Amino acid sequence: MNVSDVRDEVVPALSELTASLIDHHDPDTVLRLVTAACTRLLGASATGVLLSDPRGGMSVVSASDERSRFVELLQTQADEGPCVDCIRDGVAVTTTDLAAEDRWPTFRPAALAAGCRAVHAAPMRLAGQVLGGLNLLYLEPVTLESWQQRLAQVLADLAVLGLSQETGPARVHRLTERTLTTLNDRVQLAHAVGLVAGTLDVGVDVARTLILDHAREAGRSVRDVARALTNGEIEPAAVR
Amino acid sequence: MDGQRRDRLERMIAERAAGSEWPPALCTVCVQVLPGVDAAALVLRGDARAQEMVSASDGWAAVIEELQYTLGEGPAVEAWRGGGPVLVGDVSAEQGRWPGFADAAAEEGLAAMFAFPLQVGGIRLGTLDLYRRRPGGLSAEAVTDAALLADLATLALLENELAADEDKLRMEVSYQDVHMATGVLAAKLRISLEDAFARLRAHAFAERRSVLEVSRDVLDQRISLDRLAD
Repeated sequence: MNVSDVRDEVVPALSELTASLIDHHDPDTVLRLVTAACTRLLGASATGVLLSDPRGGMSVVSASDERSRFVELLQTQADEGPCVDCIRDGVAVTTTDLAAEDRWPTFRPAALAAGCRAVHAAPMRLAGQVLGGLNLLYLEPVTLESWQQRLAQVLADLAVLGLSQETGPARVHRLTERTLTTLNDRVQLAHAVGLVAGTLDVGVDVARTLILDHAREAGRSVRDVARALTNGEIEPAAVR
Repeated sequence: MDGQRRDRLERMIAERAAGSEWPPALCTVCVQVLPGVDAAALVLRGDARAQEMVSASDGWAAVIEELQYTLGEGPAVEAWRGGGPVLVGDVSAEQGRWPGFADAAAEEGLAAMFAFPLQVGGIRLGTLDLYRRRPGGLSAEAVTDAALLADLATLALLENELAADEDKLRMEVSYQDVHMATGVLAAKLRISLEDAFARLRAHAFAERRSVLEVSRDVLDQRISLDRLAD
């Protein structure tokens, strides 16, 4: 990258982002600008943002296209992949060529089949906590130089600032969804308790304890186990 | 104008309650400021099944609320589905619209009912339900106040989501027992959760009981499951 690239590409992209941040734009705008910068400055063919959910698990909050949404979802479903490692360990994780990779046995073949060849995941940190990760996806093998990795981290940091600034309508919208999710989670857990109680012929208190114990032993969130029980992924008898 | 009324209503609620005690205060304020309204209930709704009564001004309101839950129909259900207020000045004239609810509610002494959605953009969180023992509509002023109260309730419910667990609202009536009984029935009869819930509802309707009572019978094994098999 030479001086004219810095002048023509990097400065406009970053100034647009910081201007958006100080203007209190909504997180969607900031994420959109981060995505555009990943493509323009770092040659990513797609980007995605995963946030870790305080109740357990991760969720896709942003994806630049269907392919990246799929690759992100794949990581949350398989519970493995560069971004999952990145969020867990709080450090950047890179794979220069998935075809030559031996990590992530579930994620790797599925991502390759979706046309994804290389991934760089930069952690999104705030006040010592890892909130999520910014994923850069490439259709060809790629090796990011250290300045490129640092630029990816700058963009991830800006994305964090965008998300933590959330105000107004976006905040209300998110709280609304959270309220409904919490309500639906309670229903799902009650259904799961009933299914276990009915299957094993035990009382609902015993069933609830079995589910909580199962979640703890399996290292999964209660919410996750309740969902698996109600959609048939786990047999109710299996929690005994 | 609306701003001033909104402030006044907000002050009235705040004078009666602090922190997480606001839902009963809001229901009381509804009854006090809305002419003709005898009772009020605030209900959180996720879908037809996922429902919790946050608060009610009295036991009668709770009974009518439960009736709608058992039957799966009524003004509140419609307000939540349709997204606009449903104002019914004479419930007994609505047999065509809600065949089960119109009769059952009249038997409980309900004459008129007004349901306002708790709405954020296109998403609906629940309803604020107002009940009258005598037929008759709401004045235009009362409709405005009720809509403002529904809005205050919506914002307060959203703030509740940010509260620490110990400060969160306790729901006055949750249908947890119904959901657990649904699960038990689904497991025992090897049917889907949807079917199990439909059978609980149908049985409650046929026996003229609330779905919550039937569910507790299922959980306490006071009812033979054969009776729910079809």
